[in-house]
Amino acid sequence: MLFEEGTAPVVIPAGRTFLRILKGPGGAQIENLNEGDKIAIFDASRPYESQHDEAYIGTIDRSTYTDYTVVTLKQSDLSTDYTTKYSYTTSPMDAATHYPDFSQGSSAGVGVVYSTTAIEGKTVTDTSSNQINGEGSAFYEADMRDIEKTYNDAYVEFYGLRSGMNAVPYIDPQMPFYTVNETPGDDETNRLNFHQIWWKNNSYNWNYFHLVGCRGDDFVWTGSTTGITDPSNNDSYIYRWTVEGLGENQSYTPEQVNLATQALTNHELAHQFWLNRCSNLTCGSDTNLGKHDDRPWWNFNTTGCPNDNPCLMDWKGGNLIDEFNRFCKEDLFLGDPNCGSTIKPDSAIRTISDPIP
Amino acid sequence: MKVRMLFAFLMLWAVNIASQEFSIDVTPKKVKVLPGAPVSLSVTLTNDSHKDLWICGKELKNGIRSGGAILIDVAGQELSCTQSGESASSTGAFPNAPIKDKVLFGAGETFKMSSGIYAEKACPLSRDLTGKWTARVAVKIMVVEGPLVKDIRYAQAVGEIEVEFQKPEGEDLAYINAVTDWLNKADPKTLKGYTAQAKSLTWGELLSSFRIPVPQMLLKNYPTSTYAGYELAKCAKENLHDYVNMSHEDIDEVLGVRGLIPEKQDAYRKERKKHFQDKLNLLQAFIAVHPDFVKADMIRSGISFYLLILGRQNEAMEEIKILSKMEGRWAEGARKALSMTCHEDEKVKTKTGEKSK
Repeated sequence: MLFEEGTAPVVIPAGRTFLRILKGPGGAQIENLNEGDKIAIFDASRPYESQHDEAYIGTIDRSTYTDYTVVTLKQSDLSTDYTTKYSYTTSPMDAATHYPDFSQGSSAGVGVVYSTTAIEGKTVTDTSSNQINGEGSAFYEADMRDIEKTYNDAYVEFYGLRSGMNAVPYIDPQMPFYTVNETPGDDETNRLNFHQIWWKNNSYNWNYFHLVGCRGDDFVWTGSTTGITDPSNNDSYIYRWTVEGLGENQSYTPEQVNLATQALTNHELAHQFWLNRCSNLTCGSDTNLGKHDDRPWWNFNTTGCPNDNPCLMDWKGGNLIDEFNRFCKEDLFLGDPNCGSTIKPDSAIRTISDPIP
Repeated sequence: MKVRMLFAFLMLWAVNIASQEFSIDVTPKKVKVLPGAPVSLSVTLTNDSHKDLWICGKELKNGIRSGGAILIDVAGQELSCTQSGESASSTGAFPNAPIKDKVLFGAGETFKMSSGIYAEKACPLSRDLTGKWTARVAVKIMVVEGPLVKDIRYAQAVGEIEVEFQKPEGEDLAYINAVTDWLNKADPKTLKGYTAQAKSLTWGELLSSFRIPVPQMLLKNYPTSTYAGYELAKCAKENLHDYVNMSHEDIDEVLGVRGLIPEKQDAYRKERKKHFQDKLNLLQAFIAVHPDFVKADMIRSGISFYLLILGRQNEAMEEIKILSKMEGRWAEGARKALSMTCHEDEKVKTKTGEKSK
């Protein structure tokens, strides 16, 4: 995130030879920047996919200033100054917490697009479109490649609109952003405001959802959140780095990590349809935070907790790597039996019978 | 019979001991606030078990979690205005996995954390919240009692404080009416987010909202409302000592002029100084009307900072002196700035020989 003094968004004019980058709590937000890295500079008004500045980092002054780090911009020879061509609008820093206030501004930030210094074990070499978490990827991405098969069962089709796709700035887990609390808090507020800044359809249309692939918290063996959805506001986040941590813990192959990401993407998007809205069937788990299912997927009638044939809306997403990402009947079209008759029809993916008017 | 009674007694005693395992102290004990305004709580957890306990995680904060406080009315009913809640998918704990990290929480030791009250923020404005409530903070503690994940025990400690929501009047009520009117008349095609008809305006949106330009509406038309005070408090600056006795170059750094190509510097400096002057005017007008505002220390910190940036050092020092007599972290910043200035004075005096004896 770019930093400028003040409590209102600041338009940083073109013509800069260095940038000030918000340190965030404990300096975490700038830990992944290294001298010699190539960075992209962008905001929600001038996104990564449009014309924006790209420069190399000459020097990094991490210590002089309390709130921010100063990064000098260089051309590829790393000695000639780079002067920005475009302006960018910050989201201001909250003085009390040192977090960016995403309820304002355009969330101007930087992203590393080329680095020979390993970041979380990987170098960054690839920013091409649709590589989906490939080798050297600069992005943490959600993965919709399996979505057609899963949602065909409900005669529902998803389109990932190219015009709506864009990179978003990196958010470090030291920021209150990824955690799911039993009562609302800063994480939820930040996720909601960040989504609003970056969503192309933020003047609400009822058949658009916002799918965000992002880092997430480090995986912990006691259980980690891998994705989250707020159906009231149409946003779903997929925590790719957390899924990679799960993969490491469970000895997944890279392909299985991708399968898990696909299953979780399908799962989170299904929450947008308010499935199980009157239930919380998590087999008594301490993770009692969502509206999930312990029923079998539609081909089975098995019972038990956990179900031997878990459907996609199982609270863990079912078996994440078996490629059976199937809904249970109640999720597909019957609705949640625990809902009253007025709400029940609105708790399934398919809510209207043929012919659709 | 006696044995059975003794057993029952021992059971009761054990329950009593268990309930004394942890205690929490929440401060302040009483809060009077407008609905929707932020309330920061300080929570101190104490290990009262008379024995050292292992807590799950690398640091205590990993295994000791506190969400926001819930609100309970005089009839004992919990306030719940969230219609949906978010849904998250999680990886489960792997019961037979070994515990990798644990940290000791010694007998009698305390652990401090922050919490807040968010529960009323999702309630629609139509819901009158005026009156007294109990804010209950629950802390969950992951106690490790063996080598495996299944040996984790979830303990809980609860603390309460009294909250009184005031009825908005005068300028605050006028602001609420203006926001309501603005949203009702907003063009659905350009509005970011839901219309008022689709989603009622909530108390929380009075201070943070992506569909309402909160700072602009508050500071332009209702700058001395109590709600405006919370927005203005964001101007506070913790490390005031960094800004005392600044050179022109230092001021240019703060204004963001440094690093800009020379031909743009004058115009940008002028623009930024005007912004700072405008904010200073608002801060001074507010504190004149609300000298006892709950965040008066943050307001005064902001005034001091803006005066320093605008080169009005003497006025700034007067303000810093007032702030230094207050309590808390912002006053601490002022005292540090003041002591630094004293040292600077001493240096000058020594140089001129006035202090020599």
